[in-house]
Amino acid sequence: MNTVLALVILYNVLVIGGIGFYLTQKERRSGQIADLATGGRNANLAMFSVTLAITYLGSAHVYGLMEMSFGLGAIALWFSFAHTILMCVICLGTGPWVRRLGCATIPELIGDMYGPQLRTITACIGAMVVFGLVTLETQTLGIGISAISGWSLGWSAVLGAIFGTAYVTMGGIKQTMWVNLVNAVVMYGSITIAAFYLAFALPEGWEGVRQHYMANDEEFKLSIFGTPDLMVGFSLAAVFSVVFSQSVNQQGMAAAMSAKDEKVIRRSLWIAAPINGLFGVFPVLCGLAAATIPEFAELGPKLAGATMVVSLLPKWLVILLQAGFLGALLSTFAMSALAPATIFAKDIVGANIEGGLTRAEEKRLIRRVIFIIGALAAALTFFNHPNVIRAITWLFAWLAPLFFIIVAGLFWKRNTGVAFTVVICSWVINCTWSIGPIKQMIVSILPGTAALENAHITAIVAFVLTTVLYSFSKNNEPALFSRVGSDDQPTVGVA
Amino acid sequence: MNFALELFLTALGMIYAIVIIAEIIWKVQARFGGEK
Repeated sequence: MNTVLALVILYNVLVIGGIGFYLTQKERRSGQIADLATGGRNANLAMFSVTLAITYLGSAHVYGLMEMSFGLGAIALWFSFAHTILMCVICLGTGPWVRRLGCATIPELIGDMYGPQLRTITACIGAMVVFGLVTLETQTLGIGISAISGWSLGWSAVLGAIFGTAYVTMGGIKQTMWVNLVNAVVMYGSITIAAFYLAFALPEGWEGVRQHYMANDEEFKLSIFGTPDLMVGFSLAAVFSVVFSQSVNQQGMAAAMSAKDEKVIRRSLWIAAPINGLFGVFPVLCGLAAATIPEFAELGPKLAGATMVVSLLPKWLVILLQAGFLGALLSTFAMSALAPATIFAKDIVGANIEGGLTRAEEKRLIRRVIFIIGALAAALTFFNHPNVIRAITWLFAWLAPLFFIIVAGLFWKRNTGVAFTVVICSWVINCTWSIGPIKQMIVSILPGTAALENAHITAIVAFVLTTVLYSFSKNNEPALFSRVGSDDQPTVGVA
Repeated sequence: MNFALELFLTALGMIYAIVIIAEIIWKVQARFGGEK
């Protein structure tokens, strides 16, 4: 086996296995069964901040940013800034809201606001969307392993799925949080050293990169503001799709639900935002530098940056970098696999059997579902490799309407009929916009809609429908947070 | 200044600018009777 791959795997086995073993022993000693989904709701500031930051550092950050900066330049960093805005929305808005309500899943929150039927519907759609994300994370784990080993993408993805599944089934969210803390130190240490090392390893250093773009009349690629066209077409679109679709995503909310209290979530913004946002600088620098060196530039945007890193850096640094990158991808895989398993156990099985599931039964079921999810993701990724960024954007679109009905239900008013109409109309239009001939027909009538992605369409439709229908609806119930201070406390689960 | 360091500091500045603006918006809405 390739030495680099062997050492990267050894690192992950030691960190994941070691922490998993420690937590299992601790659980046995205490005699308490840990909740895989919420980890006992006692995550402190450091664990919560790092987990929130790394949960949203996935495939698109590691490989997508190198590819995007190769073509667009430093403006690609707006993908990271969009995630900084997302951190603000989660830490000051949606995170504290779900923690206050004490629920464990987004469908549970929707069920309390709009009834059991809408809970089951959103659980089915939510599980489907996050399962889609799991298959894409499996693919990117495969890309990482394939780049190091030279093995086929299919078999590399199977190996990635095995690692990811083992990672999360051992200890659930608590283990993921501890592993995240270790990986964050390794990842940021290695990219900082690599950035310094590249200053000497690049033919003319980082200044040579700047000179190349200035000499070729492409100075706009050196600025995070690029050109006005790119600001509208790329930056604004990135902010739009990331913020509306991810701010009520089960993975991020799972982290929020495991926090010790609301104060931890609010304070974590000052740590989570820079940890998440600054990660993007290194891949963007690599993409920019690789495009200036002909031997790497000729490999194209997908491979240029990654190949440059492997070629120019010493082996020990490549091992550290790949171990950190693989750690980030495994963390996103773990949180993504945990999300549909939790939704299935709590919202589809637990909510529909009398008396619900005991904690031990729930834990067993979540583990089994994670195994099935891992196996299905491995099988699907072995045969299919869709475009990751386009597939993620399409999946995000399904979640956009949930943001609007949740905000309306928490602060404005609640009406099950309106919420049902908003989500169903948004999802039908999302499906319609996904069918090529129908989309082309609409674009030929309204040319201005050509630039709109599915996430934009569903967010606009959901926003307009929520505002208009609630303005004219009758027989509404009061918003969930309007009950604060009354006898009826707005608590869904165990806070 | 070194190009890589310049990009790092620009990104850091942008990130904290976004965080500070978000904190100000949150405090302003709390002062006017919103979420606390």
